Amino acid sequence: MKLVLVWLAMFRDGTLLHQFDDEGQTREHRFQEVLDRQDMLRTFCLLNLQTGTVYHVDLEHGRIRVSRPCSRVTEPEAEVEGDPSRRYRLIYFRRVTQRMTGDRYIKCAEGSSTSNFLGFQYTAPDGSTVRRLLQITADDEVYLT
Amino acid sequence: MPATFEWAESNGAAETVTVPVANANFGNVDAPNLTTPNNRVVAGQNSYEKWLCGRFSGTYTAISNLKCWKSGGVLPANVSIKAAVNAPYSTPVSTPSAVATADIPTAEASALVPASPGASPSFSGYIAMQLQIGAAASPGAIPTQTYTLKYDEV
Repeated sequence: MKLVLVWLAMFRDGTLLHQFDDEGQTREHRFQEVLDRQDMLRTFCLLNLQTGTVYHVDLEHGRIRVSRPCSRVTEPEAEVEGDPSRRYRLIYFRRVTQRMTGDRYIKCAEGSSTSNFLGFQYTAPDGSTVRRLLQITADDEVYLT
Repeated sequence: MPATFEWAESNGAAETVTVPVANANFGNVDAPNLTTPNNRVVAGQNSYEKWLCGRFSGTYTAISNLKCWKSGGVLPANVSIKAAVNAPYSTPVSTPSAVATADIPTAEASALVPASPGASPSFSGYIAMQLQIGAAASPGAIPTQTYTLKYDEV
């Protein structure tokens, strides 16, 4: 089954790294390749292949934008826009919930669901870690966490 | 692609691992994929322990932050499900478990935390469970229970 939300990394030297090299999603790059070049990472995007929505994390300026097709609205940049002098570190992971049900017994693999978490964190002047994070579903539901 | 997840069950003294398992039915024998209404656990007895874990394979960088809890369903009076995680495997028993001694958590905030798997393919820490039925339990079916395993992957 093909992924609906796929990532794209843009680096400061202008190079791009797509999660998949082909539309059939048969040739995949590991996220570790992004982590290995995190100091060079400029922008990280999640693309919804079904709806065309793009979620951008600008790690140079501490911004998150959501670009929807046929819309000029970008959100929720105002809530998360940061200071360009800070160093922003990418946060990205998929949270998977596996469920099983039963009565006298337990059935396995009853169902599962996945949310994507995307954003950044930085170290504040007082030493605390500040996180700005979106929770994104495959249906383009977005929650600022 | 996302990591491929499969439930696995270990049985026997020599630890035979079955992957995947179609169910994890509690019963009066130590075997995977038990069917009902066979293998019933009657009042006053315990099921054999179930030693489950998650098998993760495919393309992933890391699996972390595992949580396991019972997220739905009410158990009848005098019926309990005991659980524990990350103990080293031991032959499943139907005597009161020395491993799964605490009631399985019923909220994410108090969830059990299985150990994360290593590089693909790999297994999570064990989730040991046992159904314990008191002598005073009423006969009949147990209402539907829902169990949840949550994890983060990149």
